[in-house]
Amino acid sequence: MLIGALFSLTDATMSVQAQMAAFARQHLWLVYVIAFLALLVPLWMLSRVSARFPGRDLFQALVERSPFTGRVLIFLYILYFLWIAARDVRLTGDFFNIALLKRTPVGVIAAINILAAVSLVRPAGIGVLARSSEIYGTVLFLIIPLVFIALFKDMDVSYLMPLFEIDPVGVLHGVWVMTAYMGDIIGIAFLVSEGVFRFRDGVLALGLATSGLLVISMLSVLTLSVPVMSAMTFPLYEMVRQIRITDFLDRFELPVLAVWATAIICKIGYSLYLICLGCKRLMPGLPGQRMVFPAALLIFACSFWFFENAVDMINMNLTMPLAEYLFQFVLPAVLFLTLWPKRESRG
Amino acid sequence: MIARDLALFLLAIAAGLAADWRRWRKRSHFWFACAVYAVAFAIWAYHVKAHAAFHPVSELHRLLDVWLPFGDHNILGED
Repeated sequence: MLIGALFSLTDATMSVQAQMAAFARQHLWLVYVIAFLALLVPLWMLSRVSARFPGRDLFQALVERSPFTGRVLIFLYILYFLWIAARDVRLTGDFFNIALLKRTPVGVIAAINILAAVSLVRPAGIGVLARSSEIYGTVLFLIIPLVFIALFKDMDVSYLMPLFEIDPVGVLHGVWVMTAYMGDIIGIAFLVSEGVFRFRDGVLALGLATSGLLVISMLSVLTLSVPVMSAMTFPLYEMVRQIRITDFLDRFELPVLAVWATAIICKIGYSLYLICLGCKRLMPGLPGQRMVFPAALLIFACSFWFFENAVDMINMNLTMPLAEYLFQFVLPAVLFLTLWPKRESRG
Repeated sequence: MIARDLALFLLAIAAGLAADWRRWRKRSHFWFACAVYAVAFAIWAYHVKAHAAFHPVSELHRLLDVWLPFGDHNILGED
């Protein structure tokens, strides 16, 4: 559950929040409700596909059912997870470069992130990653109520007004940009290799991520206001910077960032793991562990090649959902309709 | 600068190859990993050497933005 929640939440707290605020204004909560309901569909479809192939991951099911087309789809999903990992690496690198480590080159920050993800994935595959997610995911979700308590005195309910003047087009634009980030959650369906990916787990993970995002986004609206929030590059970071609990904890954002950074490294690790798993299924017998280094270097190179600059990282939030929805909605629907186990011949 | 960036990347590849050197059971698997390394290096070399020549996601954004009803094109208007 925490893995899925991390998939959805970690990078949805970045620059996309400002764009969403600009579109949906004070009705951000509605964006999350619609995105949550929309994403239940692919999660349900993938859980049904997983139930048809118990004890096997979705990549295995694809190859088993149709060796050629299955491999083509696996290759496409490898590209998709490569895209997610490269985006996360660059997003984190740019963020730390802009907000905290101004003299450190983005390349160095990205390399450290990648190296951390490699050190989590390479020794024991998903085991270490899952344990790390349990620790840092839990802490990350515990921070959210803490932030709420710390900022309670600074909230201004008038920022939510007018409450009932909803702009449906703006809200749908907000849904367009946010669903693509939250839709990364479909990755958990590909992670399950033993047993079956249960729809209930997916719903709980998505629900946890949605409620966490909803609370911090609304908190941001209530403390910063919509015009200020939409003018910032990283509004949630700016919001956390407002917290001053005591004199010695006047930089409360640093421990928050430390936990968030580790959580996003876990997410990069999952994408890396899925790329290696995909390669393993693509070439039978290929040891996935030995693909960690090459895949990590590919992610590193792509994270710089894909985007011209930090501004493009923000711009692409508007257009890239068009490509991402192919993997988050269209291909799960195709798998749901076409992927059935082979009928066993009788006698 | 370019030579330093390329050398560091090659060093990372060498470290990766050295870490997995003795464990390959099939030669084809080793060559597959080498191919991924080669693609990564080619992308990095292109990025470092050509700098802002062609960035796939940025170009895709420019291509799709025109068709999006709420993209930069529509928000900012024509020059």
